[in-house]
Amino acid sequence: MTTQVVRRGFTNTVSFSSVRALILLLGLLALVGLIYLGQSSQATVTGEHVQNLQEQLDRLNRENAQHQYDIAVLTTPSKMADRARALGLRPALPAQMLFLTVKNYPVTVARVAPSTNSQTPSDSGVSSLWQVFLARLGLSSSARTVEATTNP
Amino acid sequence: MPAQGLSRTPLRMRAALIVLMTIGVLLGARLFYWQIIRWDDLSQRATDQRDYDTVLPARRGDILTSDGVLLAKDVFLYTISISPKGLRQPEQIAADLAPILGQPRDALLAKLKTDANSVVLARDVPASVGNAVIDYKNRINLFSMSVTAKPTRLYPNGSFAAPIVGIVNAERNPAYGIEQFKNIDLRGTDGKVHGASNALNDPIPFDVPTNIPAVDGATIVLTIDSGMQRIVEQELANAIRDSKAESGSIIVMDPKTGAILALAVYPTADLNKFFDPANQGKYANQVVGAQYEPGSVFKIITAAAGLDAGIITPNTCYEDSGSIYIGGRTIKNHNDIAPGHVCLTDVLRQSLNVEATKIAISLGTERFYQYVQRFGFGARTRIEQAGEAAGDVKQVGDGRWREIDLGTNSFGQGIAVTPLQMIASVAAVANQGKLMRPYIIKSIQPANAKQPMETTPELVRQVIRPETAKTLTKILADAILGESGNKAIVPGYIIAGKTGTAQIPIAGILDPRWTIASFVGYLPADDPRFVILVKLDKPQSSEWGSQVASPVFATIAKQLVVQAGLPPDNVRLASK
Repeated sequence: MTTQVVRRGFTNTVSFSSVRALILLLGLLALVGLIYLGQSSQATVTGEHVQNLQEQLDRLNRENAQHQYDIAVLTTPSKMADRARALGLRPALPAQMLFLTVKNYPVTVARVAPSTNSQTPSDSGVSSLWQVFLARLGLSSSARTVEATTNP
Repeated sequence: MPAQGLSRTPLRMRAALIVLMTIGVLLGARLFYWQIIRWDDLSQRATDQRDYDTVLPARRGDILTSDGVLLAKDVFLYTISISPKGLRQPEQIAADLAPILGQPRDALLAKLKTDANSVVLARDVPASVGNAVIDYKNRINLFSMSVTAKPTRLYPNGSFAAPIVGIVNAERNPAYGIEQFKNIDLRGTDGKVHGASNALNDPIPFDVPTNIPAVDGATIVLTIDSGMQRIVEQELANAIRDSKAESGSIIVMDPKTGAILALAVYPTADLNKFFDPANQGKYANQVVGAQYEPGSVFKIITAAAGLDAGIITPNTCYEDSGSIYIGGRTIKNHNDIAPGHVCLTDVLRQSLNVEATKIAISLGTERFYQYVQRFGFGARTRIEQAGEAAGDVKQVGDGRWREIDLGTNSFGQGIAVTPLQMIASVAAVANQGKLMRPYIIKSIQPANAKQPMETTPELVRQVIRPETAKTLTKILADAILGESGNKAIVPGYIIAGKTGTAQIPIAGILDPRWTIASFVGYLPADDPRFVILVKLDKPQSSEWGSQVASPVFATIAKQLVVQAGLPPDNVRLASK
């Protein structure tokens, strides 16, 4: 009897359309919740992936820096020099250098050296060198002489 | 009974409703209190408990030579520690970690079996070891193990170019050299990781990470050439050994740009061992920070001033009686020589103090000190090095200047300069009278920039006329070439330069025992590529610059021309 009264009360007060609207609302809320959950879980997964990649990047960068340092330690100028000496190499002296004057090079230079012979410091006399030097500084009348003798 | 129950039901329901509503109101009020009133406080406490902020240390920028030799680098070193209490299977862990850490298994086991809260298994191990340990830790879920990494400054070349580079100590504080001067560029900006962690402090990826990445420091490329630097350091060490000098320095500069190509100081020390008490005081760059009285090399400045002002010409000659009276004192030549009739080239060749004094007197105090200032003495050069000194030039009317100073200053005594000022001023003579600002940084490459910032050579001022510079170069070259036994001569190349033998002031007098021997010169004289200054303090084999410093100049110059591929003058000039 009581149940009936209550049930009858409900049927009297709640319409079908209201229930339908309520269900629709709940369904919408559930959908929104589902979408939010899906999005946030996707963001979480992506976040974790990004974090892992970042850690991997940091790790590789640190290992890379370590390798660069190790290479630098192995190739210091002093170690390279020691290795070169061990291979029988030795520093050259100016007198051991062979310089070639290339004719008409660079091409923009008007005055061209006629000689293509290699010359070493021992070949040159101090006095002639001095004259050339003074000519270069523009402090000697022999400048023209030098130019005349070097022109073809 | 049912009728009685029915009649009482609404009342009980009403009572229950009232009770429930009261409870509801109380709960609501409490909820309001926690959720609204205490919201800020509680949410902050929750955040503090859950969230963490980890600093991402920025990597300090590299320092390299112009040809790419690495001088300074930040690497991450790892410290591995463990809490041994309650550790399961320590024998197995010790056996696993021994080959990774490169330590004996028994030694590790002993550490793992101690009662300490935490024990360090390995300190400052490289990234390869640290990462292997992290992998091992993650594989067996060894939560009691901690692996921490910290950036550490390392110098792969040890003492190579040490005074230029400077140091960064364990607290990451820079001192000396480029490290201190360019700290703002080098240090970078630390980043931050913001996230959530669980009770074990393991990160929980709640959301897309809000990392602020670290911005690494800029890479600095120096003007130093590693090949030239090595030559200069080697020859300085040889010179110190041969002359038994107390200390010394050598600089090589490009006169046309002001770029420092090599710079060596003795004594110096391994940059990785800055903590060693024996190395205290060996890291300062004496070339920029230490002042000295240059002695006769300063006659170049006096002669330049005299020639430029038109007071003297290359043909000016004097009668040198061996002494001159000025300011109530007598100035004499070295060894009390009285050469008689001498011309300007002889003045420089024989390094006559009396004639230098005469030139300064002829110029007058105002003009003489104007030239001294124009050559850059008494002011910092603004090179990119920490602790640069300005030198000390007395000025007329400053309360310290006396008339005698005009005489003594003319031959480089009673005036304090830095080796860098000295070479920069001579470089101005080599560079047609143009004083260039010395610089040691070729470029700075910020971490986020596409293009490096290149240093542009900077003209400070035209100190003397180009004609004066040429004339003086000829005189200096003539003075060296005219002396067959001159130890500065480099076969095949005409050089211009001057020796110096300076007395050292101590407590108001000049030390009778010791000197500073030096030579400054440039080559090729007509088109200089290098200016070289050699300075040896308190040499014992000979007190004279011509005996101990000149040969060092020649030895270095011979190697530099090969290094730079600079042909002998006759070959070079013939090809023009």
